[in-house]
Amino acid sequence: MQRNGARIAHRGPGKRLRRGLFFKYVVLFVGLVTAVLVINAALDLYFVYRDNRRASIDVQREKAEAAAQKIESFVREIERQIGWVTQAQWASLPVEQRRFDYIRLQRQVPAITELAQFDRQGREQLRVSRLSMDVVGAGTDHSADPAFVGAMANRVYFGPVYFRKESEPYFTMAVAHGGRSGVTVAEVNLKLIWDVVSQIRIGNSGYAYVVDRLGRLVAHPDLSLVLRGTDMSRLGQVAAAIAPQGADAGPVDARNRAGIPVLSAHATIPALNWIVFVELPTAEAQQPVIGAGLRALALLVLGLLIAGLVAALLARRMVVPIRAMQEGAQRIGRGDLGHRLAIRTGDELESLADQFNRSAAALEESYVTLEQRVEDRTRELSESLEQQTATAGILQVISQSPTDVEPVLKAVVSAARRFCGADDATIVLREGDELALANHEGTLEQLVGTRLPLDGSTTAGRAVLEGRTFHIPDIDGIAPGDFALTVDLSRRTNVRAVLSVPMLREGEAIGCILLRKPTAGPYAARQIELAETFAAQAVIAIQNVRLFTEIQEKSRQLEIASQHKSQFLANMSHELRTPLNAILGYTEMMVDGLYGDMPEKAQRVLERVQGNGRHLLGLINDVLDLSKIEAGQLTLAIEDYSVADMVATVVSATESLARAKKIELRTAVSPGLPLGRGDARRLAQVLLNLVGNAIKFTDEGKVEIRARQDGDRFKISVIDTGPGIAKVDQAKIFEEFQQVDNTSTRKKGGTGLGLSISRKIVELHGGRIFVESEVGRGSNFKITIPVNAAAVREAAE
Amino acid sequence: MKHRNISRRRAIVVAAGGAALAWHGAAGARGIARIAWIAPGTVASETKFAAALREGLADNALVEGRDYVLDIYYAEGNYGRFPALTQQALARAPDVMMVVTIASVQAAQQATRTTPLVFVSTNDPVGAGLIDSLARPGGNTTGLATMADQTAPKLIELLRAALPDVREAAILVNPQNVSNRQILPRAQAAGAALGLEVRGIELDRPDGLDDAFRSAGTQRATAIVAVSDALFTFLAGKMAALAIERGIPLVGASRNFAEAGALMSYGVSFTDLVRRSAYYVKRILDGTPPRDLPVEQPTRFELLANLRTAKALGLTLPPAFLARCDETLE
Repeated sequence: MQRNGARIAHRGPGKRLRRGLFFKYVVLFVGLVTAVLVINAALDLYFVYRDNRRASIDVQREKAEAAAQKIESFVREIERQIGWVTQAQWASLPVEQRRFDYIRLQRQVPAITELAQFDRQGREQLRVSRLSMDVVGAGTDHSADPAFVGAMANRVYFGPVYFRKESEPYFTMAVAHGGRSGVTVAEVNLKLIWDVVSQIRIGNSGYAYVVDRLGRLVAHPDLSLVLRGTDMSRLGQVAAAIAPQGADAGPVDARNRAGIPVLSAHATIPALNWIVFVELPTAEAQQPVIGAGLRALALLVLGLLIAGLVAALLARRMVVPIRAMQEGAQRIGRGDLGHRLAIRTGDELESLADQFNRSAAALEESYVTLEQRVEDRTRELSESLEQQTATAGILQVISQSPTDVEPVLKAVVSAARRFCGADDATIVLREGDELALANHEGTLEQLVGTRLPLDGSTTAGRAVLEGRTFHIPDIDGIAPGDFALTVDLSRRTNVRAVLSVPMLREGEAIGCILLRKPTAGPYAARQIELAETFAAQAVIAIQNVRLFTEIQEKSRQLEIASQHKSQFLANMSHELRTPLNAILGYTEMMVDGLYGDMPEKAQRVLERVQGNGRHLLGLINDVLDLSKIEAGQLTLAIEDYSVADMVATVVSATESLARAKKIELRTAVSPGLPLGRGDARRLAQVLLNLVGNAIKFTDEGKVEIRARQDGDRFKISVIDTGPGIAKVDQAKIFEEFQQVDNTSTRKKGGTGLGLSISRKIVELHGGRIFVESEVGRGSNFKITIPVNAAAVREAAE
Repeated sequence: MKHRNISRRRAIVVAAGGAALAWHGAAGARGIARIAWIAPGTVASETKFAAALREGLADNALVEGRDYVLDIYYAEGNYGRFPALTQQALARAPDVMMVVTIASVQAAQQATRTTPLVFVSTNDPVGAGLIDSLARPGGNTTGLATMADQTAPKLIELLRAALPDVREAAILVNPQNVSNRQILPRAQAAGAALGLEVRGIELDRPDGLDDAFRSAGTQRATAIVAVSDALFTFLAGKMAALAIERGIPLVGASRNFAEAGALMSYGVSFTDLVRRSAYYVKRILDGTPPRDLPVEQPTRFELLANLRTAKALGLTLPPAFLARCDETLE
């Protein structure tokens, strides 16, 4: 799992990186090419657009001029045709001739619907029409007609456009006859300009049209627009052109009637007061720009494709060796230190790969060295550990064998031989003036049992004598005369190198460890050190055994002595009691008057004898008890007892004493105390001892006995108002034969065994006795005993 | 079920035609247009007009079979058949209906207010109440006017120029053609100014021709004028032959008469008007409503003399007259 995770972690970023680099190269390259192409295309387009627009504008302007010329030439042609009938003498021709000329003129010029001849005074002489009957010599007065006036003034007159039946555009043209002899007026049907207008080619879908000064359509390729009298002044370009101040502006971007954007140019025909527009859809005008744009786009796409391909190729060339390097690094990273990169690109990448290979080689070498070091170190450590283990093993043997030195020495020689590079290890112990081979392991079996003199003839001897290590790397290197015996023995036993390490106890050698091997060569410092450690361990073991044996012997002796003492005391007490009982018996009988009345003086002596005898008996009993305890012969008689009864018994026994000393004796026993289990008689003895002591040492005041239960223990206190006990003395008073040594105690007397016995009894019950006291502030002796002493004893056992 | 199949097929056709649409333009988008032509004459008499129409449609980039189908309904000179023919034509849901004379236009206008109507050569459409004005016809009708009502006096004048000796003339009018009623007084007024007595003779059916000529003879007419009317155009050939037979010069209001054998004619070419009417069909099929298409008036009025007829009649036309002629047919 861990390995797997690690592998993924390795591979994951690797793949991502490879893609990243590859795409970075491609994107960078393509981006660069794109940027160049786009900038190029944009600039190109901009200039194409500008040039095209300028050219379009020029072309449109020219077209407008040309269209205006065509339209004007259409009219001028009519004017020229009319010129046929305007010679000065024409008016004087016969009417039939003039009529024929007009008919002929109409045939020549289909646009002329009607012709009229006015004389010098403006009277109508002749009217010829396509539609109606000819009129000759009507004589109607037209002298005020603008056509007549205009023509007479300016030779030629062009009237405004008008619409017949509100549909067909017409205009009146008048030409003065030569010598101002009259005027020929022609009504011209402008519908026929359609032929001219529709012939004007403006690009593919461009067109020309003519409007008059009012913006009404005069001519248009779509005749229906003309016939409908379309008002073009709604168009911005027309409105601008017909405006009074409307100069001959250049082409403008405009929209035509269908709302399509057009490039519009116009030119004026001043004579007619008409304006000719040429309009080309902007889309068509910009066709070259669009074409250029498409070419640029195609070039861009082509450029991108090529750039993409080239970038991919280049990026591959770049990325493949890098990828190889990355893989190599991964293999080396996985531990394949022998892996080498083979990149032959002949550039920095190859040099990088070579550098990489060198680094890998160096890494491999240092890795091998490191492995060797680790191996060495591990071996040293394991050796060291073995030695530690051996040392610890020896210590263990020492601890397991406190009384017998033999296993220890065996372990020592075994370890010394193993770890100090010797063929044979021997422990030599000093025995008086000789050295004895105590233990041995190795090849030199024949020397077992040999005793060596304790002198300078052997390395062992000198090591023991001088208390220092002797190291002979080669027997043959010893100066002649030195270590003669060692040399001799070594020669015989085929030993070449010897090491003698003294076993020192308090600076004095008790023997030595002798290490031998058959090949010459020094023992390593560590081996010597180790041998010394073994020597020290051997000394400890030997010392241990010696001490242990001594202690054991001593304690056994003490025990016997103590038993003897106790036995003696028991015997002695018994022996002492027998005559004392006799003394007391006889004394009592005498006091009781069995041997007759005694004088009062004698009576008092007898009573004193009796009192001292009893005291002596008590002392003897105490000693007996103590000796029994010491001898382990005191056993408890376990039974149920009542603390209250026990206290009452003690009080009744000591009441008289207290009364005699005028000391108040009080008790405070908690009601409802449970029955205790223990040796009632002995416990009463303890309490009696404490209360007796209290009364004995208290001269005035009171003594109080308190008893209560605390958990599974009784707590019994005896409190007095006596002199108190100093802190230093408090521990001593529970020891045998100890009494606080002062005048007061000597005056009170006592064996000093009571408290000691009490302590033993309490402790036998599993309880505790102690005192709280201060000098001059009275004493408080406290006992705590288990309610069920028997159970505690059993548990203890 | 069948219906669904058809609509599915149509959907497929429409989808497949999507690409074709761009190439075939609006006509392609519509599919094939149906053009109805209510012809006043017979198959024989209308052949040249039908051909002219097809030519005109071809000039407007409409190809028969691909862009349109042309259904022709023949009245055979009987104006009473116009309503029935119109219904017949409308039953086939034409995209455009083409009609000729005022009676035919009126029949069509009564039958439909939606199907675009194009009149081909009609006298005084405004005066006849067919349209609101030339510039803005309104309704579903547009077309081409002849101006024959206006040029009738000119015709009389030219008759006088061709035949200076004629003192009495009969003028054939069709009472079923409302414009003819206006033409008659104008012609009479023009004749009076020129010292020519003009009498009207009504002719409203193909088989009335002999009677008409007979009554002209009884009126001692030395010339017969045929005004612009579809019936007369249909009868032009017969009329001319009859005139030659009877030795009476015939004058017509269109070159079609001269071509048919009349002595002379002055006016528009009906054939040209028919050809031109294709432009209206084209515009209407391209989506322009008829009311937005102004009614055009002719600009070309031709004077023709048929020298063969003159010869047949034993007439010598004055050189001045001949010099005026736009064309002489030999």
